[in-house]
Amino acid sequence: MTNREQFVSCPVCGDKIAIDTMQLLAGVRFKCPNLECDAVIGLPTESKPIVQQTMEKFEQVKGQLAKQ
Amino acid sequence: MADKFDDLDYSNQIDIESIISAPLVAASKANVMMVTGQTRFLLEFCFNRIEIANTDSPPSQDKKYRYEAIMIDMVMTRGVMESSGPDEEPTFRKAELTFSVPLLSIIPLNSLAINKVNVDFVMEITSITSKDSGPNSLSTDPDNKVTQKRAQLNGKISSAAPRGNPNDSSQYKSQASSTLKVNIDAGPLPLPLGVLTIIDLYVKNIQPVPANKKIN
Repeated sequence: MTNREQFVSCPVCGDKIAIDTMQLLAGVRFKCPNLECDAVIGLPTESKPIVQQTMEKFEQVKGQLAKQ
Repeated sequence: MADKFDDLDYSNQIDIESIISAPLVAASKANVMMVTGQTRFLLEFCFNRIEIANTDSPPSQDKKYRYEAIMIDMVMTRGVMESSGPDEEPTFRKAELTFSVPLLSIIPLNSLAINKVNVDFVMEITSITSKDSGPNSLSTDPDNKVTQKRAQLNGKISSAAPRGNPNDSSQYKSQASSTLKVNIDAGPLPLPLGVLTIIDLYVKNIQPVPANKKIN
């Protein structure tokens, strides 16, 4: 479940492609909502470690704040 | 039963402003804590801090830093039609393009914020006092004693049940248990304008431009 609607701008037509970071990490690809645009975006394997690491840190920060 | 009434202690009465403001101040502090944590996280994990040369004259002791957004590669796949010649049948293939986006644009940052606070309580007024409005009083007339004073309600938080017969022990117990219900809704809030501007700047630069076109 997404915490907020997140978007990445389509490199082809500029439309907003809704994404979910956890699903991106799981290998899901997201399609541009523009029917005339066939673009599909995803996270390549080499980018996954840094995103995974940042998401883990983010969860840690949230956990720490919840304890305070 | 008379002994029970003697046990009632009205010395711990609090004024209504304190009862309302205490949970709001606590929620506000929590919100500040979360926003501060979010900003720290943003600067620490989504940006690279680079020390830059201090060109101040006279030179100051303070170090200067430049923050550069950490970029991650994303891959885009789209169908491309190709034909080797004008008489050739076009062929269809999937082409992959790598583009960069700032890491902060794919982290769900705004989930760390308090959206709404509900303070719900029933107050039993135990006394009403008046106090001076102070220097902020609306009245300019020094003889005006009415607007220079303002009411202060003091009381105790009580349960929502109506006050019943004091001889009824069950009613008495319900009055003795006081409740202050505070609902905090940490719903999604829009990102601060500054962060949105940074994301927008990068997003606008995702679009590929011809190599000979000057980038603004």
